Amino acid sequence: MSLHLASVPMASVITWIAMQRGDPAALSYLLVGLPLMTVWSGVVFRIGYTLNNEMSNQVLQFVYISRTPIILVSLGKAAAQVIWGLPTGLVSLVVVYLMTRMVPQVADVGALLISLILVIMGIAVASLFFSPLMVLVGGPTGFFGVIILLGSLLGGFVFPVDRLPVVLAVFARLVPTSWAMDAVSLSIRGTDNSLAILGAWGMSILTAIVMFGITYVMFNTVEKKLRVEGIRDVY
Amino acid sequence: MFTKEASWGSPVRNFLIQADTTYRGLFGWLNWFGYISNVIFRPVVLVLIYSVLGRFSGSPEVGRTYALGIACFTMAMNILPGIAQCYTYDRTGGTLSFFFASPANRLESYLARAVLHYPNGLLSFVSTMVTAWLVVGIDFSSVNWGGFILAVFTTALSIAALGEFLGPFAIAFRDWSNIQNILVGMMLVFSGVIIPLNVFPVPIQEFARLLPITNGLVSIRSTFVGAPLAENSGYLIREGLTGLAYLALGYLGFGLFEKVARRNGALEQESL
Repeated sequence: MSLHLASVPMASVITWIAMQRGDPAALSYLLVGLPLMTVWSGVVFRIGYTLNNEMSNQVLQFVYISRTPIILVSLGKAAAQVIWGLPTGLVSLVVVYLMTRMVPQVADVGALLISLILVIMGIAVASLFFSPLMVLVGGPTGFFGVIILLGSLLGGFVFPVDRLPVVLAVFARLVPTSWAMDAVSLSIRGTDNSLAILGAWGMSILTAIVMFGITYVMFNTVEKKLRVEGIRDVY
Repeated sequence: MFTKEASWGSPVRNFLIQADTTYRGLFGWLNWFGYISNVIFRPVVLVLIYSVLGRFSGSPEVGRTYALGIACFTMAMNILPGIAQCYTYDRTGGTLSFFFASPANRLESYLARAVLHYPNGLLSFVSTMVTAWLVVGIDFSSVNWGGFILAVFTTALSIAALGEFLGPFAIAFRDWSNIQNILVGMMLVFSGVIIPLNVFPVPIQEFARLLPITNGLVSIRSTFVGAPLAENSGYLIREGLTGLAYLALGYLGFGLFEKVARRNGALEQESL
C-alpha cells in the first residue's frame, strides 16, 4: 500500500503548480500524463534491477541453462511489473481528480486508448533497457536516482517534450513515451490531421523497437561476458 | 588516515574515524555515478522539471519562486537516504552486532553517522541554486549572505537530525524506505517547499511546523531577498530546536532498538 501511496506527494505538488493558472489544456494533459509518470517512477527501478538481482541472488545461472531466452523472461517480468505498477497510476489519478475536480475532455477516446497502450509499452521497454545496462556498468548503487527523474523529464508525461530546451528535446525524441504522449495530447485535443496521430504512434513503435533491439544486444553482451569470464554470480 | 596522522585528543579522533568509516563503508552512493547523479544531477533535473512544468501550465515564474524550496527539498533527498543507509547497511551487513557487543560510545557513533552526509546536502543545495540561476535566472543581487548561509546551514542540520531520528527505523523495519518516503513526501507537500503553508487549515500548519525545512525556509527566503536575519530569527531558532528534538528522540530510539534487539536476540534481523 505504501508503495502505491508514495506517488501522492509528487502528484499533489505537480497538480498544485498546474492549477495556479488553471489552463484547461495543461490540466487535461496532466490528468492523463501524471498517473503515467508515477507508473514510470515506480517500475523503472524494479525492472531495472531484475538482472542485477538475479545475479546477486544466484539464480541467473538457472535462467541461462534453461531454453527460454533471458530477454523473453525479462520482458515477462517487465510486463508483470508494469501491471503491478498501474494501481500507483490510479492513486495519482484520484489525487489529481480530487484536487482539480476535473475530468479530461477527450476528443477521440479510441485514439487515446491506443496511445495509452503505447505509452505503457514504452514504459516497459524503456525500463527494460536499464536491466542489462545496470549490469554492464557494474551495478552502482544509486544508479536510478537520476534515471527516474530524467525519464519523467524526457518521457513527456507532465508536459509535451517540445517545451523542453532543444538539446533535451532531441534526447527526449529517443524515448518511445515522448512520441506516445504526443499522440495522447492529440487524442485529447482532437485533430483533423489523422496522419499526425498515426505518425506519433509509428514513431513510438519505431523508437520502442530500436530501444528493444539495443536492449537485446546488451542482454547478449551480458551473457557472453558472464559465460566467457565464468562469473555468473558475482561481478 | 586519521589513526596515523591525527594529533587531536582521543575522543575527537575516534569521532572522526567513525564519521569517516561509517560514511565510506555504509554509504551505497559512494561511487562516481551514484554520487554525481544523486547529489549534483538530480537537483538539476528537478529544477528543469518544475521550470518547464511552470511554463507549460502558464506560470513561468514557478522556477524562480520555488527554487529555494526545491533547493531545501534536494537537501532532504540526499541527507535522509544517506544517513538511513548508514543504519540499514550496518544491520544487513552483519556489523551492527559487533558494534552492540563492543563498549563503543553509543552517542559518538550515533552522531558520527550524519557528519559527512551534511556536506552532501549543502552541495545539492548549491547545485540546485546554480541550475536555477542558469535556467530561470534567479537574482542573487540582494542576498543577505551572512543570514542566508546561516539559515541554510541550520536547515541542513535540522534535516540531518531528522535523518538520525529515522535511523533506528531503518534498522528496525524491513520496509524502512517506505517510512522515509512518506516523511520526505510530507516535507514536499507540507513544509512550504512548493505549496504555501497558508493554504492549509491551521492544525495542518501547526503540524507542518514540526517538520524540518518549514521554519528554516522562511528565514532562507527572507534573507535571500535581503532582509536582516533578525527579522525572522524566531523561525530559524525554531528550526534549530526542531532539529535538536529529532536528534534527542532519535538517540532514545537508537538505545531502545539496542535493548529490544538484545532482549529478542534479534541483532541480525528486524527486531520489531
